[in-house]
This record gives sequence, C-alpha cells and structure tokens, in this order.
Amino acid sequence: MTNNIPLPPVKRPLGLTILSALMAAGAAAILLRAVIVHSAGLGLVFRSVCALLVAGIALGLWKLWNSARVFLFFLLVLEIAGCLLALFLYALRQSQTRLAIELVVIVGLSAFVLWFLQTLDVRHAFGEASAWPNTVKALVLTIFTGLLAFPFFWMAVATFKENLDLYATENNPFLFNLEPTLEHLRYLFTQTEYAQWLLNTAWVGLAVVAITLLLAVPAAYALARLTGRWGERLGIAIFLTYLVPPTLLFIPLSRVVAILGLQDSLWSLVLVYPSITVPFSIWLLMGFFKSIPKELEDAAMVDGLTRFGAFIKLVIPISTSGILTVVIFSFTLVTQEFVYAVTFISPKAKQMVGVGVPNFLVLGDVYYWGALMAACLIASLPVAFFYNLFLDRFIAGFTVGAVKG
Amino acid sequence: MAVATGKIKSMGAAKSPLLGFAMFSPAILYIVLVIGLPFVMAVFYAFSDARIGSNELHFVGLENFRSIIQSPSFQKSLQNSIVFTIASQIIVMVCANILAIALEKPFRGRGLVRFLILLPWVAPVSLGTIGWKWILDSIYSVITWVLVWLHLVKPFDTPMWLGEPRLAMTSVVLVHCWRLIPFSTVILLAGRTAIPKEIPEAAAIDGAGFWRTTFQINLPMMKPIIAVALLFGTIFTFTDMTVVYILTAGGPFDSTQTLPSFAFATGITGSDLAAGAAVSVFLVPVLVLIAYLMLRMAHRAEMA
Repeated sequence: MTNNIPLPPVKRPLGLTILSALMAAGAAAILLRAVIVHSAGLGLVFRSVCALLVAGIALGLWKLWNSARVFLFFLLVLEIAGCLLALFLYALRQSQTRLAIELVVIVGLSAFVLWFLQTLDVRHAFGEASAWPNTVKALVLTIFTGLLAFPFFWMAVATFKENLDLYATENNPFLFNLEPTLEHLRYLFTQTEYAQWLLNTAWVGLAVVAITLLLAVPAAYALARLTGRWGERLGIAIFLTYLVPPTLLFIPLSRVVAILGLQDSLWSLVLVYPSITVPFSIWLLMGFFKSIPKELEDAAMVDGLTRFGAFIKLVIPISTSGILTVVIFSFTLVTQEFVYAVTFISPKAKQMVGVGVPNFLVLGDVYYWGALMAACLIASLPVAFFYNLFLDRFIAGFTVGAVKG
Repeated sequence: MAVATGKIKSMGAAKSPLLGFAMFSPAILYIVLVIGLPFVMAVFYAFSDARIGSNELHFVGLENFRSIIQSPSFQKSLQNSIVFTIASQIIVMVCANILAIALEKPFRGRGLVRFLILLPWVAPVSLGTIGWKWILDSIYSVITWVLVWLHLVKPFDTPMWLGEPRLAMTSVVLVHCWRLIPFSTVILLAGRTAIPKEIPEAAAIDGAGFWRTTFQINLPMMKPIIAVALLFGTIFTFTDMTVVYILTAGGPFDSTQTLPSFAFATGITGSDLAAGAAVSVFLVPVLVLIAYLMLRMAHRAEMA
C-alpha cells in the first residue's frame, strides 16, 4: 500500500553471487566427504550441521537477507580471532612454519571477504547498513552467554560421562571419548537420599508459599487501600526489612529454633523462611493492588458485599497473576536459601536440596562429580525456568520509584 | 451517581481502620518476631557470652569485640568483604551495562539468550557454585586443560585455582560477578526501556554517535536505576556466605574468609554464638547506609 513509487530492483553484485555459489559448493563438499569417509555418530551429525549452516548462509546471501550477511561476518571475525590466537600462542612459539603459513593465508582470505562484505555495492544491495554494529552485538552476546551459561553446560557434560572418561586428564574434556552413560543418574536416585531432599524442598516450599500468601495478601491489600499515606510508609519500612540478610539473623535464630525444640526439623525452616519471602511479597502485591481501580470494589459494596467480602470475592480473583508471581517467587527463594538450612538442620535425611548436594553427596574426601553435577542440573533447571517466566515482575518490584514508565 | 460512589467510598474508608489493622497486623507481628527480635538479639548477643549448649547469658561489655578485632582472621575477613564487594561490583556494572545495550533491541532468539544469561541468577546459588568447584578443580579443571592445550602452562605445574590465596580470591570475586551480572543486566534493561525514545533519536539526528549517546545521554539518564542495581548488588555480595562457604570454606589460610563466612565459622561451627554475633554485627553499618540511600531515592522519586 505504501509502495506507490516502484523502487528500482536491487542488483546483486557479481562478487556476492560468486561467494554464495562457492559456499554452496563448500556445503556439498562437506556432505560428500562425510559420506565418503563413512563417518558415523557424532561425527556425522557435526558434519551435517556444518553443511546445513554453510548452505543456509549461501542461500541467505543469494536472497540478500541481511541476517545471513551479519552471521557470515560474525563467523569470519571469530575465525580471524581464532587463527591469530593459534598463530601467536602455538604455531610461532613451536616453530610450526607450515601451520603458520596456512593460518596467515586463512586470516588474509577471511579479511578479504570481510572487506568485500562492507564495500559500497554490497552495502547497497543489503540496504545501506554496515554489518559492524550487529556483528559486535552478536559477539558480545555470544561471549557473555557462553561464559554465564558455561557451568550449566559443563554440568550436563559431566552428568552423562563415564568416570573413566571424566577422570582422564589426557582426554579432551569437551568430547565424549567413551559412550555416554546414565550410571550417575542411577547412582543419584538409588544410592543417595537425593530424591528425599527434593521432596523435602518441595514440602517446605509449599508450606512457605501457603504461609506467605496468608500473611502477605491481606497485609498488602490493607496497606494499599485502607490506611492512606501511612500505608505507603509502612510498605517502605517492610520492604527495608527485606534487606536484613540471613547472615545477620542466623545466630540468634539458631538459639530461638533450639528453644522451640525445632532443631533438625524441617518445621524450623517453615517457621523462618517466610521472613525472606513476606516483606518482598507484600511490596510486590501492594503495587499490584494499587493498579486495581477502587471503583470496582465500591460497586461491589453497593451491591451489598462488605469490604472484606469484596476483597475475597472480587480483588483476589482479579489478582491471580500477582498472587502467582508471589507463589513462584517464594518457592524459588526457598530452593535458593542456604544459610538457615545449613545452620538449623544436620541429619542427612532431612536436608534441603541446596545443602544436601554440596554437603552430603561427598563421601569423606571423595567427590562423585558425575552424580554431583547431575544433582545440580536437575534441581536448577526447573527452578530457573519458572523464575525466568516471572522475572520481569520481580524486577518491577526492585525498581519501583527509580523507573517511571 | 458520582456523588453517591464518593460518599460510599468515604464511608467505607471511615469504617475500615479496624479491618485494615486486622489484615496487616499478622504480617507485621510476624516480621517483628522473626526479623526484628532476632536483629535485637544479634546485637545483644554481641555483648554477651552466649555459647551453643549452655543457656546462661552474662553481659560482658565490649569483651567480644576486643577479642575479635585483635584476631588476624577477623581483620582478613573484614578486608576481604570490602575488597570482594567493591571489585565484583565494578566488574558487574561494566559488564551489565554492555550486556544491557546488546540485549536492548529485540531480535530472533532473544528469549532463549535471555534465559541462558539469567541462569546464574535464577538457579540456586549453592548448586551453581558447585558447578564452579568442578570447573576450578585442582586436577580435572577444564580451564587448566585448555591452558595446557594452548601451551600456556606446563602439564605438571598447573595452577591450583582454589588452593593459592591470590587465585582463590580472584575465583571468589569472579563467581560473585558471574552470579550478579544477570541480575544487574535485567535491572539496567528495565531502566533502558524506560528512557523516552525521542531523546536518543533527537541526539542521533543532531549527529551524536554511539559513544556520545551512550555516555552523555543514556548513562546519565539511567543514574537512578544504576544506583538500584548497585545497592542491591552490594547487599547481595557483602552479606553472602554461600559462595565462599562452598568454594573454599574461607581457605586457604583464611585468605578468602568474609564477614558472613567467618561469623558462621565462629558462631555455629565453633559454637561461640557471642563472637559470631559480634562478627555479623559488623554488617550492620553497611546495611544502614544502603537503607538510607534507598530511602533517599524513594523520597526523591516521590517528590518528582
């Protein structure tokens, strides 16, 4: 509709056609080689993926998709960096002349293609954009994502590796030198109390969620609605108690727990954990309740409901998503807490998963790394997944006041 | 009609103080009992001779403080707590700002990238830290393997990541950074999206490049949100004991001991509740300072 003036058709520069043809040929060559050398298993998968990738870029360049250009650019930058590293760290220091020459040639070729992808004609074909900003962004994201997610990737690798492979320093740790195994998982669930720890954590988590909701929902509503300006001030005061860390309170609380006779009982955690969930939950829910128009409740009260009735029958049902946020928040905090759990509870069978794994999966000085890593991964991923779904709401709770938008 | 609702609303408000009080008092009571009371007890214990296994309590004045201040372990812990917090916060702020810029505009696969970046923050700390313990293992460390493979270190003279004081301290700082970068990134991201789009656009039309827009427009406008990320980051690092406890247990030779982990070692492991409480009371000045700064920010936001 908007394209009343026909744009002149974009011409594909000849170099680009040649480049994509070369890459398509390269993809075919990789596939052919995979078939000829009869590679199987991981090798075949790896080669096929490579071939697909190269073919994809070739097609993208042909069709003038800018993302293909940026991706190729990004790969070339990585390649140059890798080759230079290899050149200076290895080839030159070990006087490997042939390898050094090869590396220099590769760097030269890559640099030439980089330069070509930025020439005026090519830029014009892709809509005038420079490839650098997106490439730098992709590089930054790749490096950070790699570093931040690496421990979890590494847990996954260790989970499925044979012990012989895991503890052989001469083996490349990034590869499966022996067939993957489920032995560690079997050990974890049959020879250790891990399943019990997961159950303990789930039980304490549910109990804490219930208590948090009972305490925080009415309090947040009262502070948001009923007490005017003082509500706001009390809300901030409650939020500040969230800043008091367990590492300050665990010593006196250990005495309190002992006096109440709750030592080594999961009830001690059920009693204490709401102190980390309630303040922040009140704060989150206050913001939530304030966004519900007062007129709705007033209308309900005209219809004969009491204030409390309106709260139960009207406000709570509309606030399901806020309440759900508090549920997830409280549950994940319970799985993350460490200080109270390690202080109050010592028997092996009653551990929370966050303490049991580091303290009780180690026998004497022997670390069963495969099982340990499996234990970490299994407990981390679901928690991380649900927390991630609701993260934006928590962040809104942290940033209230500093961001208006 | 409008008048009628107004009247009813005011009637409701006039009737409700008792109900309001009944609704928020359980939570307040709980907070006072489980946060307020232990807080006072912590300070009180610091001036007493409380020990695990004995119910007697005597007031001993500044005795605990006198003895811990002279202990070299305590001095090292205090120094480490400050150094670890400042070093990690500097690294976190730089990296989180870079990441927030890279993540700001939507692109395909952003959801997945965000999930992967957030993993260190959203997964349980103690479990993520064990992952690092394996990565930094003295024999099977993957970092060592890569360094040997690159011929940067000799196979029989590999670094002991958690066994040498300097390397252990660096490792603790980096694990703290690893854990806090995701948190600060999402906070800064929330701040960036709140900047009115017209301002950077106008600057771009006036010929301001990427660096000028970043340093002269975006960063100054994000000051309050950077402060929020910094204050929470400081609290989370300064009061954390999990990373140190799992990674090094304070060793080698107390070189990575921090105030919280030292408080645990003396108060719980060493059964000397009073000394442990005295150590943890040293966290209070920092907490008070941060609470004050936050209140000031909240006040400013209210005024604006």
